Amino acid sequence: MSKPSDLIQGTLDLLILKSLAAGPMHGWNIALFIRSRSEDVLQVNQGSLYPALHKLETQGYIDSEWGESDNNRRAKFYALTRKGRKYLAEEQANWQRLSRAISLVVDPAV
Amino acid sequence: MTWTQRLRRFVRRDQSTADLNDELRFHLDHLIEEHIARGMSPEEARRAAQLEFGGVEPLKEECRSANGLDWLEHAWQDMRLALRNFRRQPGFFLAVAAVIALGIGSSTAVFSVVDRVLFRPQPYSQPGNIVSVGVSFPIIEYDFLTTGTYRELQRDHPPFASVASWSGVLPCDLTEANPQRLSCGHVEASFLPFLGIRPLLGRNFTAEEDRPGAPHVALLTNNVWRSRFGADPAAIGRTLTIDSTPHTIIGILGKDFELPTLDQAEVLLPQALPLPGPSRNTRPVRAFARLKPGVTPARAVEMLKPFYEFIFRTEAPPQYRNEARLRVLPLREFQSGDLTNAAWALFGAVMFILLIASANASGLLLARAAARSRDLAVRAALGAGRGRLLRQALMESAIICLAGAVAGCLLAQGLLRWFLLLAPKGLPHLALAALDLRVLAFALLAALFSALLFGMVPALATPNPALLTGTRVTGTRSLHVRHLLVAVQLAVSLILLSAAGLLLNSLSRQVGQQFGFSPERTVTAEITLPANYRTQTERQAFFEKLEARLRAIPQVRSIAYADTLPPGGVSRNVPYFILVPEGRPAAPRGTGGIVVWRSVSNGYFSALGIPILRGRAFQPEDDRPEAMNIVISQTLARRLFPGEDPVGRRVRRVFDKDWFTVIGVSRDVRNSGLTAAGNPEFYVSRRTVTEGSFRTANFLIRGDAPPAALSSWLRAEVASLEPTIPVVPRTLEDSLGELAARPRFQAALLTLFAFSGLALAAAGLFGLMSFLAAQRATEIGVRLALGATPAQVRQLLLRQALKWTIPGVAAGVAGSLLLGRALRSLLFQVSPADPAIFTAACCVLVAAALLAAYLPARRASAVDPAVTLRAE
Repeated sequence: MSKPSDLIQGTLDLLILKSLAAGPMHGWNIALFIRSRSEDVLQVNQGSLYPALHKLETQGYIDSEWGESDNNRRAKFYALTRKGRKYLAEEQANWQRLSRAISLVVDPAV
Repeated sequence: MTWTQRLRRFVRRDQSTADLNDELRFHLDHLIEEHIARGMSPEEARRAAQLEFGGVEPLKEECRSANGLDWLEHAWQDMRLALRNFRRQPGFFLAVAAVIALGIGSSTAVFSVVDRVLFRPQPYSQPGNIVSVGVSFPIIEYDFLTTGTYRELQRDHPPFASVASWSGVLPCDLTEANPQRLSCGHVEASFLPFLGIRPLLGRNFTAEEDRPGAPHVALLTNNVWRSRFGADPAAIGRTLTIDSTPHTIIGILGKDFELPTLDQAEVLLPQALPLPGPSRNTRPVRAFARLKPGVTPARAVEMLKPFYEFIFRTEAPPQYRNEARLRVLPLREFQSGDLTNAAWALFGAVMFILLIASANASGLLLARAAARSRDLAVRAALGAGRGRLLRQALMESAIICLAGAVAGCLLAQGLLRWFLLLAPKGLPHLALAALDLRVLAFALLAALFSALLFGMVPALATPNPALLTGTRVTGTRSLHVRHLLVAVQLAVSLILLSAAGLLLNSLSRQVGQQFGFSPERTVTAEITLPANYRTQTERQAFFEKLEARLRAIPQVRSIAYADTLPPGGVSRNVPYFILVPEGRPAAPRGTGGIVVWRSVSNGYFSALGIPILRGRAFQPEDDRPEAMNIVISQTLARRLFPGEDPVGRRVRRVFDKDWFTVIGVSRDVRNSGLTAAGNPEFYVSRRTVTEGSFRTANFLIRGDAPPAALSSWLRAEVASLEPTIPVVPRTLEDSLGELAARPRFQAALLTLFAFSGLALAAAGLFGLMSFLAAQRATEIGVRLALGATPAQVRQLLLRQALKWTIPGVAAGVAGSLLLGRALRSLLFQVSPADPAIFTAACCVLVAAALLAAYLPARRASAVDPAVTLRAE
C-alpha cells in the first residue's frame, strides 16, 4: 500500500508541530494554517494528517483536548507538550541544515 | 502518552471510535462548508467533499494503528475467533485439551514422585561418597556387621575415610502421663558428625555417653519437640521417661533430619555397644562409611577381602559362607533399592506419554487444518497476511494448550493425592512428594512447547492458493509415519492394559485369598510392659489378669495373645535342620530353610479360627513348664513325619537333649506376608517358654461389637491395670490391607498408565482418521453421488483403520507375553499368559480403536455429496 507522499517523509510531523507552536488548534485549522503559510503550495491531505496527529499523540509530542470551535461545535484541539517543543527545536535545526545543504547543491550561486 | 493511558484508551475503544468519528466528521463538515462558500449547492458540496475525503474506514484503521495497540486488538479478535471455532466444534476442542491434560497431568504427577526418589538432594554433607557396608544374609533383612567385626573395621578400613554405625530403629514407649508409642533410633556417638548433621539446638552425644552404664541422654526430632514441648527451647535439660527410664534431653534435631535408611524415628539414643570382651561381640550393628576419593564400591569390596576373611575366621560359622555376601552400596541405591530402576522406568514411560500426547494433539490439529485448508486459502486470498494467519493459529493452540495445562495441573494434583493414599509406607520420600514449583514449571514448559509445536506445524502448512483451483495437491509422504505411530501406540497400550489386568487380578487374589485364619471382627494391639515388670512371673500375671478382665466383657467372644500374629510382621524362626524328629535322621546342616514359631496363649487357635486337623489345641494342663508340648502346622508335620501320624511323636532341638511332644496338627496359615510362600510353623504354650524377653504380647479380641467399641474396651482395660502403657488398637483386616498396599500401588500405577495410553492411542487414531476422511472428502462425495451407500463408505474408512490396528494388536500381544514374563515375580496365583486377561485387554483395545475410527467415518459418510462436490 503506498501512502500519499507529496511531502518528504517526516516533514509533515515538522509542519504540524510548527503550526501548533502558534497555539492549540484542531485538525482543520492545522491544515488551513499549513496551506496559507505555504501560500497554497502545501495541501495537507486529511488521509495523512489524522494518522500523523494520532501517532504524534501516542509518541507524547502533542496532547489533545475536546473544546469548542469558533462556530461553537465540539472539536478536538491539539497542543504541543514540553517534549514536543524540544523535539520541534531539534527537527527544525535538522531541517535547516538539510535544506541549506540541498540549496548549496542545487543552486551554488546563492 | 503513557502505557496506562494507552491501555485505558484500548479498553474504552468504543469511546475512542466515537471520538474519531466526531473528529473526522468535523473535518468533513468544514470541507463541505468550504465548497458551499465557493458557490456549490449543498448537494454538490457534500458529494465533492466526500470524494475528496476518500475512504473513511482505511483512514480510521490507520489512526487506530497509530495508537500502537493494534496487535492487542488483533489478539482480541483472534481469541474471539478461536472461541467461536471451539463453540462450533466442542468435541474437537475437548479432545485436544483432554489429550494435553492427560499428557501433562500424568507426567507431572509421576514426575513429582520420581523427582523425590531420583533427584532430591540428601540432607548430608557430601552424600555422594557415603556407602553402607555389611554382610547380607538371606534371613536377615538388612546388611549387618557384628560388634566385633565392626570394631575391626573401625581399626583398619583401607577403602574408607571414616566409618560410623547404628543399631537401627526399635519401638520404644514414652511411659509418662499421656503415654505414647515411639520409634527410637540407636546410634553411635560419631554417627551424626559422620553424616555432617549438627543438632538444631543443644549438642550431640559424647563418646562417654555412648557406653553401657552411662547417664541416659536423648536427642529429639523436630516433630516430637513440637508436639510434646510446643517447640520450647527450654526442653533441653528436661527429662523424658522412655521405657520407664528417665532420659535427659540434650539436643533437638533439625526439620530436615532423616536417617539414612529413611526409617522414621522420633528419638535418638546412644547405642552403647558393649565394651570389647569375650562373648560380647555378637550384637549386630549397621555400618556406614565414606569412600576415599577415587574408590568405587566394587573396588572397596575387593579391598575389604582381608576383612571378609576376618569375619569368617572370628565370628561367622563357616557353613554360612555360601549364603553370606559382603556388600558396599552407595547411599541412594541403598535407600531406594530396586526402586531406582523402577523410578527410571517410570520416568521413561512418562516422557513417552508426554511425547505421544504432543504428537497426537499435533495430529488432531493437523487433521483440523486439513479440513479447514480451503477456508484458510480463501482468507489468504482475501488479503490476510501469512503472519496474521500464523498468529491466529498460534492463538488457537495456545488457548487449547492453556486449558489443557490448567486441567492437567488439577489432574496432577488429584493423581498425586491418589498415589499418596495408595502408596505403601515403605516407599521412601513419597510421603513428602508434592507438586512443587519446579514440577509446575515443568508442566508449563511442556504446555508451552506443545503450543509452539502444534501452532507452527499446521499454520506453516496452510496458505496454499492451489487449494482454490480444485486440483488438490496433497502429500502422502508423512502418512506412513503417522500410521506407524498409531500402530505403535496401540501396541504399547495393549501391553500396558494386559499388564495392568494381570496385576489387578493378582491383587484381587491376594486380598481375597485364604489366610488360614479369619480376620473378621477382630481388634489387635501390641502391649509392651514397662521395665519395672522384672520377672517372667510378674509379666505373665499381668497378661493373664488382662485376659481375665477382657473375658468379663459380654460382647467379647474370644481372646488370644501371642508374641507375634500372622500373616506379616517379624516372627521368631529357627533353621529347619535344628529340629530332629524322633527315630529319624536330622536334616543336613544349613538346609531346609526356616521354621517359624510362636508362643501362644491357650485360646489362640479358636480365637484366630485356625482349625486343628489332628490331635488337640493347648489346654491348661499344657501350661506346666515340664509339659513340653507343641502344636505343629500341616506342612511341618508332612516334612518331619512324612506319611505318619505325628500326634504323640517327639521332636528335639539338635543341640538339646529334651524332647517336645507333638499334641496336635493345625492347618497352615500365611506367615510370611501376602505373596511369599509360607514357612512351616510350630507353636509352644506361652507359659512354658522362659527364654528371651517377654515384655511384649500381641492381644487379639474377637467380638460382636464394632471395632471402635472393641478398641476402646481394650484400651480402657489396659489403662485400668497400667496407665503408662501406650495402646494402639487396629483391626486385623487393616493390617492385612496394609500388606496389600504395595501390590495395590503397582496395580494402580500401571492401570493409570494403561488408560492414559489407551486414551492417547484412541485420540491418535481419531485424529488420523479425521485427517484421512477430510483428505478423501471429494472422493467420498463422488462415491456417494455415484450411488455408494453411507455404510459402504464407512466400511471403506474402517478397513483403512483396521489395516493398522491389526498389526498393532498383534505386536501388542507379543509384547504383553514378554512383559508378563518379566512381571512374574509380582504375580500371585496368576499365570503370566492368562488367556482371559489377554482376551479382555484385546477386546477393550479393539473396542476403543473401532470407536475412535468409527466417529470420523460416520461423519464423513453423513455429508451431503452435493455440498462436497459444489465446494470444488
